[in-house]
Amino acid sequence: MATSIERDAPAFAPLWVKSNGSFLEGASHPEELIDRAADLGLSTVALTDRDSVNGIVRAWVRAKERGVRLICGAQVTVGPTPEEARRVVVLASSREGYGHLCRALTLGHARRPKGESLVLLDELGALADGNLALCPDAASLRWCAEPFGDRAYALLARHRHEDEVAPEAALRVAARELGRPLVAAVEVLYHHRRRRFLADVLTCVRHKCTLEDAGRRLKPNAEHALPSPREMARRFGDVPDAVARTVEVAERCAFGLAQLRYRYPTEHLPRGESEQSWLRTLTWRGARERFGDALPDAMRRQLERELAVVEELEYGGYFLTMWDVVQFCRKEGILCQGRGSAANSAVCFCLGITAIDPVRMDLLFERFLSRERAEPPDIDLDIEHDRREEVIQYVYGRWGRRRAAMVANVIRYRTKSAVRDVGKVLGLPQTALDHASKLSSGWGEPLEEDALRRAGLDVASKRVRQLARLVEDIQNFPRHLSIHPGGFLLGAEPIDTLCPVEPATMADRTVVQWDKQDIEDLGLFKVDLLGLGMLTQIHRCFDLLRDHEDVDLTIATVPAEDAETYAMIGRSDTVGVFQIESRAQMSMLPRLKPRTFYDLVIEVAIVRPGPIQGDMVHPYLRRRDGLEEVSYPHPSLERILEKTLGVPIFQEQVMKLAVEAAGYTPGEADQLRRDIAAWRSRGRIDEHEQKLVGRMLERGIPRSFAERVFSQIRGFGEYGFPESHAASFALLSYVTAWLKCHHHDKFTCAILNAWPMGFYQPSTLVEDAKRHGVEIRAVDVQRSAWECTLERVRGGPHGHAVRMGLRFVKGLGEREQQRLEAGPPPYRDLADFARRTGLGKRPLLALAEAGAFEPLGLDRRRALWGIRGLLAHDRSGLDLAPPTAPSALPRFGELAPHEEVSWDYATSLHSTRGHPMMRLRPTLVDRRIADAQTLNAMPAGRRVTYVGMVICRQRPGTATGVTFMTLEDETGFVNLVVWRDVYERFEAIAKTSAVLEVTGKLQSEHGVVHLIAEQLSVPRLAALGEVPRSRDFH
Amino acid sequence: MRARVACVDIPALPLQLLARAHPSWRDAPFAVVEADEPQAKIEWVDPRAAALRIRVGMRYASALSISRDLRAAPVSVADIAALRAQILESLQARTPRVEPDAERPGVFWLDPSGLGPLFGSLEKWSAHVHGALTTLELRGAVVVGFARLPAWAVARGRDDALVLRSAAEEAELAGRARLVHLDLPPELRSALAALDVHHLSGFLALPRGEVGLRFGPEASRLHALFDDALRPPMQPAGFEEPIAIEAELDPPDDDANRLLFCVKGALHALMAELGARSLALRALTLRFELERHPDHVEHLEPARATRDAGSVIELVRLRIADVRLGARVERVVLVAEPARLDGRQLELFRGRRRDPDAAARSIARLRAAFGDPSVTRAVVRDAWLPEHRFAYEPTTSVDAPDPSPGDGGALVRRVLPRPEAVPHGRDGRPRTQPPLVELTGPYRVQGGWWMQETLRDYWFGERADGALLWLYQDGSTGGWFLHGHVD
Repeated sequence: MATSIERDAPAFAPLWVKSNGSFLEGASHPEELIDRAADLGLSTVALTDRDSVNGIVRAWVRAKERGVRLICGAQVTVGPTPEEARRVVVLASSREGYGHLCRALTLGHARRPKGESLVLLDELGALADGNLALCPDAASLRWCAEPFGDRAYALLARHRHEDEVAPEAALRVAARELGRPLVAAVEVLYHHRRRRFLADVLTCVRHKCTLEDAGRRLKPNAEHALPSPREMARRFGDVPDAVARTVEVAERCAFGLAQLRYRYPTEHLPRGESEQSWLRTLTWRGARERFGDALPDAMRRQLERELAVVEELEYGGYFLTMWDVVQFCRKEGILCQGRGSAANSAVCFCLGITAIDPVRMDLLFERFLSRERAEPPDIDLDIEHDRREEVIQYVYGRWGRRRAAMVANVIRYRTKSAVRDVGKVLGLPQTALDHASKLSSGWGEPLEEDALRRAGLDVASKRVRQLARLVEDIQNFPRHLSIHPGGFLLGAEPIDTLCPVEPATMADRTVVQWDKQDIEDLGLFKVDLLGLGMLTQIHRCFDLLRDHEDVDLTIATVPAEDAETYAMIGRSDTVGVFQIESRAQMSMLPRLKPRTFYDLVIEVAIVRPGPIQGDMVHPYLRRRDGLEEVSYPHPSLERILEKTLGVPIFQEQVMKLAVEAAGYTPGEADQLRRDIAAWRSRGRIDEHEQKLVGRMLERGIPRSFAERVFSQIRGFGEYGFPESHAASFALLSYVTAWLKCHHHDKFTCAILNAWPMGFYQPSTLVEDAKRHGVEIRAVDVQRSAWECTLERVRGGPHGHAVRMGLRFVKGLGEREQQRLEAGPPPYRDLADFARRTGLGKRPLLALAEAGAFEPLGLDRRRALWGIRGLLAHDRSGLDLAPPTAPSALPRFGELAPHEEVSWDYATSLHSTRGHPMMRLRPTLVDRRIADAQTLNAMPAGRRVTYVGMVICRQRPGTATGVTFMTLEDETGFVNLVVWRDVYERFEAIAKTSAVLEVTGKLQSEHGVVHLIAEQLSVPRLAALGEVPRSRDFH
Repeated sequence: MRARVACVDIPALPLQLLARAHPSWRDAPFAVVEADEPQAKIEWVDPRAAALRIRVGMRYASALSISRDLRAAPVSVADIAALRAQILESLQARTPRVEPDAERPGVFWLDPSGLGPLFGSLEKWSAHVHGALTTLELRGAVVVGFARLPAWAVARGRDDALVLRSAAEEAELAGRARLVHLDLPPELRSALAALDVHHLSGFLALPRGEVGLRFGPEASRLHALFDDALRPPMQPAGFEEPIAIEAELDPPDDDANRLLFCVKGALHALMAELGARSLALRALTLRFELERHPDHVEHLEPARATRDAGSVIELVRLRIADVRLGARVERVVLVAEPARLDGRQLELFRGRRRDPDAAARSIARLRAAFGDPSVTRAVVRDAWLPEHRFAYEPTTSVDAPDPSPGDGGALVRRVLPRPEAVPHGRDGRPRTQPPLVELTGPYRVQGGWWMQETLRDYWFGERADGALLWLYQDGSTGGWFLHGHVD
């Protein structure tokens, strides 16, 4: 509390402070340390995390808010060898010094295993330049005295423990001998002594032991809290000068994070060009390519406006980088597309970063960059998922390892992980902890007593009460560093002078110690290179069209606004279509009935937590259907909400509402945007509720609307979806829908070859294709390639049949692919196949089980028998191979048709021969149970029983416990809604049964039929055999 | 006439063991896991868990997501071995020739020869054996047949006792057994299923040579065993006959010297018996059977396994010298726990300055005289609280000290067995006689919060007479205590 400022206390600055950025050691968030320092009246605080600057940005942001000066530093592990290593607290006194510190830590991490660092003694000379060294023991003081000269101090650290007495005496002797002054400190591990418990727990997690076994690995007492000046005076009463000297040291540290001047790499400019001039040249060149001589005036004006803003904000280099990466992709034949607010600029369109014409789409105008906000531009580049690594390595090669590194993703504790780790440390049974963890909510929710009780833990016991308290304390604590999926930090100067860079676990990758939020807080630029399976599919489909139909398409040249495609989308016929294939999207499509590209943009954005939680979906649909008048809560909001019929759908609109309707300043709006991005830090969004709603009310906006807007903001915290992202995704949705609508055979072949990706299993994609008249042919060693291929057919709705590729046979991998391609068909017989491909036992048996040898006249069982005989012969070394001709093999029982389908699913996750439900149809017909097609045509309100195969289970957080399932049979899908009470009643069946019998009531709206489940059971039918696994709870 | 063999089949033994250990779990789904870890694999599931589609091979964590009521615990090899020993002992009471199956933990082979007439019929005998399982709270079947694995195939899935009339009946019933119930190697079982071979008869119909060629020698061996083409001989488990000697006292006596004399004679006989079996004495149990009183038992362990009757009799003398028996002894029974000699005697010929064996013998004598916990040694423990930094544990030997370099320079702190309360004055400082002239500290030790939090401020106090005291002030009471002296 602020009242803690003590009169007559000596001036003091804590210089050895570790936050939870010192993973599994520090027991306070950086913000908590800063807040506590401010409350204690400390004007300056150093943050010195262990071998890192992990917590420094968060501390800096809070220090700015609280008016505390932050000294940047780190506790550096120094020594000739890891065994002899000592700790030295290094504080940056200048920008150069900070750079040297980051560089030293980069080298230190590179030579040690993950999570460790070692700076060698001969590196101290470089580290000393621009830095101060505080040495807590005699050995480290002797190492640092010469390189650091008068910037080396003897650090007297006292924690009221008798083991410190002798080392302190030795340190003072060394200090006297070397003429180095003493400076006082406490090794701060937490902001308040009540966090000592958590510090002990973290120590145990780090050492993988329990509290009982930890012994002296724990600190002996709770004397590592941030001390007040008076406490320091008490503890160092015999050396008051050492306390006073902390202020002197602090004054020598002139560096602050605000001094980081970030310059974008510019070394690749053609001679005589500046960043901006080169960007202008490329943009206008691109505009000519896009529009020829007929560049629309609106586009010209937009380009001029955007280029002016880019120039003013000095962001030209960023756009040039994206252009450079896109050029590489184009050269290498890698499909990519930009996304994000800046991506949907006219400049990006002309540079070829996106295929969306923002002027024609009426997408953004001034939205993509703002002079007022001056925030870093945002462009994500989606890349074919199986070629992303090529692009990542290109970036490393192009900018150099020291000028490019990936952004970190800090893995933090949530309730589930906390229960496991803390409980283990407390010595509770691990199986019970896992049980409790599963019963807990994952994200920051308190640990419920009921979950503990149901897991068999005694909630009245002291240990379990401690568990609950510590789980709350440890929420959001970082546990370890991971790597961002595709975020790059690029710099004109070496990145390792901005932030230490560590080798990533993944080969050939390096990662900085800051995460996405840190990068944004510092105003640094990040380039996101993200893998997207759908681009792989589109690329493959374009290739098939070129090879088989002589049609050459790109994303930009796919015919726009095709009525047939929109009609297909309106029927929810969207299995395999990017972004609009999920159960929720499919339910929305017949209601929204997209007719234009912008409708698709809304479709993509509306089925998201933001609009759903803000209760904006139904008002929008009613207005769109003309059932409700389009009105605006305030005349000033018409400009913002006009495109979406007065209902906010996109994140940008809500942000603008905060400014226009609630009078947020640009600074407040920026804070709101950041709080949305950091939604997992509980409570940060909630702080805006009163302000936002209150101010809207003051402006005469109805409370209901204001509260809905706030709920929507909270929903965006779950999953923000800006219009610019929606537009980029909608373009891919449209392209894939068009391909499915007009070239279903190529579409299916491409998506199967790009799989795994998207939402559905191969079986569903195959069944969907079959229902659309595409012939799917089974795997066949004489005709199948590794991937799926197209075979010309005469007659029928499609020009080609899809031949399944051998890659879908389970148990065949890259090695088998090479062997198969080295000994291609045709094959005389089984022995010829086995000899020429040299495949091993398992792949041969897998092919036999999949029926791939049937073209050789061998059914699956005889092929199995024959292969085993061949393999035994190989082991014997005899020349005479056993006969494998069909006539020479015994006959086994023939597979029934349903068994064939079952074997297909078991061996290749799909069947070209039929659907597993077909076998049950006669029995189901006898029981008067309708198929999916019939059921979907029935009137609402009817009570029915249905049996189908479960292909997907979902329980979105926005659905308050409702579980949605999609069931499939040979005629189509049935949408199932399972309310919480029904789900709990039939939980085991609902979770595990591959085939469900459901009794319930039909509900229909706008042609969307749902079966509201009342009772679930496992069908009383003969065994179904193998069925595919459903896609559950993703 | 063809010899008979009986099979006792106790299915899912680990699961039955768990059910016995946790009676409260019987109404819930439960499973045996390989270890007490969330990611441990499930090894066995009970019918309730199976009905919920919890499968063997799943991770416990995954199974929990199916049923949150699932209970699970590991079953150790030792637990299974102990239960098998218990079952064996029980079966040996029904026939002297019992062979535990080496591959299947729940299977035992019994030789019923001659027991039919003894019990009235083989049916009665087999029912008697089945009753033994029930007594042990185990579920299983007893089948008296003609060949081992065919009889076992008949027993699978049964829960009763059955006597087969002919080998033909056995072959017919066995042929109907489903392969999934016969614990075949998984790969063989699935390969046969793929060939539409689901029953034992189908398996046996395949030519054994072709089976061996395609599925390997193990498949061929199983084929021969199930086909009664291989008849391994019965190898009954040996009785763990205790090596025991009895000595009658007539008339009963309670004089220690005479009792010792009696034990001495029996002990020599016992040692001779051990010698005949190339064994030595690891431990000796003395059971004194008293007149109209419960038996009195003493257990003795020499320093190491021995055949030296003299040293053992010395231990007996020390032990019984202080024993009050309460009644006269009618009989003394000496039971030896045998051990193999490890050739250590050769070391007797090597010259040594210190004789650890002599120390060990002395310790053995002390333990014999005063009980096992009477000889202890201090061991260092890793902790902050002074009294937790060392502990005393019973020992049977003396180890040479192994000081770390530099230990010699430190002050020696002599810790009191129990801290002694020290009065304090109004100023809160401790009062001693002679008075303290200086206090240095405090050094705080605070920990154990997860059990019972302790907070102590330690001080070094110098008394006027120069003595250095080690004191602490308790954080919860404020009281002062003397915890030790510093030399």
